[in-house]
Amino acid sequence: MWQQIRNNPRAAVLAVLAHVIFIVILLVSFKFSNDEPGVKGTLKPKVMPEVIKAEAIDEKQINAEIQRRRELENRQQQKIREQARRKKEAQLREKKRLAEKKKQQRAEKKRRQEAIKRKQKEAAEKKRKLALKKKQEREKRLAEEKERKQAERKRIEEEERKQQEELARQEAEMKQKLEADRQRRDAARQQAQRQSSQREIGKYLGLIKNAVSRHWTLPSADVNGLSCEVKVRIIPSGEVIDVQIIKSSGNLAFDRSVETAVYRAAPLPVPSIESGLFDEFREVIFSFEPRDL
Amino acid sequence: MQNMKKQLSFILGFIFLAVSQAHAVLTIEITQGVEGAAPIAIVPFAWAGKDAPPEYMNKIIAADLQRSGFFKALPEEDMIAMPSEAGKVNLADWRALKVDYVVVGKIISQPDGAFQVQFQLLDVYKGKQLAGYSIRSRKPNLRTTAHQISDIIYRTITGVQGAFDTHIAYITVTENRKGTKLYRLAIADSDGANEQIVYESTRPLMSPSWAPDGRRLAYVTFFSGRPEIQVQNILTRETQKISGFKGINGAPAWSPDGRRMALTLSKDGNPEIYVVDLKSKKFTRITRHYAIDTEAAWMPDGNALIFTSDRGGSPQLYRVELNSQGAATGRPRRLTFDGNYNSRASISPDGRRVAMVHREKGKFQIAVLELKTGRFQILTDSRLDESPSFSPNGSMIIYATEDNYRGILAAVSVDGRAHQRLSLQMGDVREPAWSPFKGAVQ
Repeated sequence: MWQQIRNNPRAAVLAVLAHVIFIVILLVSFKFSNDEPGVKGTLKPKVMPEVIKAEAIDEKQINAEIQRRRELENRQQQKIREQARRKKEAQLREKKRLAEKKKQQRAEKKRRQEAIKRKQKEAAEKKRKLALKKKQEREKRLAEEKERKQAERKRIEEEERKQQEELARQEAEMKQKLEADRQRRDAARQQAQRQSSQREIGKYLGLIKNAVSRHWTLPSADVNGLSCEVKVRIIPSGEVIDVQIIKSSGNLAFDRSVETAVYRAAPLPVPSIESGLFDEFREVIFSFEPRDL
Repeated sequence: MQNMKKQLSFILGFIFLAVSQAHAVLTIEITQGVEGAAPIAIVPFAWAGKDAPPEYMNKIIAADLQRSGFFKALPEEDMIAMPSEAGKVNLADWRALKVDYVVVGKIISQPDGAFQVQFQLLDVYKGKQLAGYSIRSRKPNLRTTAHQISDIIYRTITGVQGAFDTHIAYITVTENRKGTKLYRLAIADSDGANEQIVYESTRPLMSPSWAPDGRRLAYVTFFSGRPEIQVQNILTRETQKISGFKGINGAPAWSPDGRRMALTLSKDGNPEIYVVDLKSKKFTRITRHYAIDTEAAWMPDGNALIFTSDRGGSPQLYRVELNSQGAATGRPRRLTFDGNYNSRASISPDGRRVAMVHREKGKFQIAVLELKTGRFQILTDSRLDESPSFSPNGSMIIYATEDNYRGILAAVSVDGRAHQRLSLQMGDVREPAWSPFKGAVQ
């Protein structure tokens, strides 16, 4: 209220003035009426015992007076009501205006705030976009750099690889050549070895043959057409550890003579383990087939 | 030189073989062996008694095996140990002695006076027992038991049935102080021991022939003054006359089925071969020739006879086929062409060989003809060998020969490698005949 008065001093003065006038009017009017039949204003009618001095007053007049008074009163009340109404309306208007104003102020404020916010947002967005752009650019740059570097590296690697390949090829070629040489040499050596091995093996086979022949007692002079094959297992000492008949002559005595001959001839003359030839002799097949000379 | 050449070619052959088959198993071809016999040690059989053992089993067995020609027995004095059972045999000892087989055994006397003879045959190189038996026997039969052991050893090692536990029949001639000759038909063990006289006479006895059952003998006797063929059961001594025709009644030969007998009769003029059915006594003439036909021998299948005939100018062997009735089905075919004298055929039990008396450079020797191949081999080298007779397993031939003008018996292995003389009998010994296996059918 005070705020409103302060805010609208003219209106407040006017309002006070209006009230004063109204009150004066009221007081005056009462005087007027009191003045009339002898009632002085100074008098306090209530205390006065002769209030009614039945003065005949025209009823009409009274009624009219009452009417008039009533009307006056009504008018006054109406006026008051009007005034109150107006005042209220004014107040309402004022209030409304104030509310409106306030609303406007709020809206304004809000608008301003929003504007600020928007601006901030826009700025942030801008900033973000800028940053993003910057970042993307940087990344792109980095990627490009990386790619470039990779390509470079690849190129170098490729070059190195090619170089290595070339080296490898050369080396392989060299190796191949060496290997071929080695093989040629080995083959020659092996050939020589084989020949000498075969000679050696042949020598031992001959020795074994002689030894076994010497120990082979023909079971009878009547053995023509008989033949028997045995598989003989020999150990490095030349001892015979097994004689297995793989093809029987069908004649027990003949088969036995064959088995026994091999056992009797043991230890058989076999090449030493060191010669590398013994393995050939671990298992030897003897074919016994007497022939007339 | 030739040997060396052979060896060289051998070695070269091997080189070639080895080169051509880089990883093939080496093969050695043995084409020659040595003449000889398988060395075997028959260790004296252990005997727990204080006295001498009831029989020297090892000696009998060793002699048997050695006589076969297949074995050579290690002399007792060369033995370094005398184990009596396989568990106590140190194989290395016997390998060192270079024997292939060892026989150990023992004689255990039983409460009832009998003996239990145990023996084991071991393969020295393989270190394994090849045979082991325990045989119950009595003192008079211990020699027979020894022969049975020899048979088992022989069969185990050669795969051929042994013929040691068999008999021989033969004729002996002795002269008493008055100069009277005594002829005896005797039988003995195959080694000549245990001689028993089956029949004796002051008149000649000839040509004993075993029945396939091994219990009867047919022979020629002159007890009546002229030759007759009679059959005698060696256990019961019963005799039975088969033929007593005018002239020659000789050379009886039992058919393999025992139902017939081939013999030589001259009842129709000159000696011819006949076959008599022993049941019906029906005689069937087989040969018809003016020459001498005699000494028939049966092929084991009974479908042919081989006999001696001089129809070609000199004695040779001929063969004539027979039908199931024992009648000739064709003309005799000459079998022998080696030399100008071949007679007295004995056919091996497998029918593959014919042993005969063959004359070479004035000497009569035992020879063998292989029927399939025609291979002819002279087995003996004495002056006067006669009457060959195959052992029932075909591995040996017994024959008569002479020593200091006295007839003796000898045996030769069928390959001619082993020669043995059967020492024993008194007087002149002739015409041996080897029995069938004991327990042979019929």
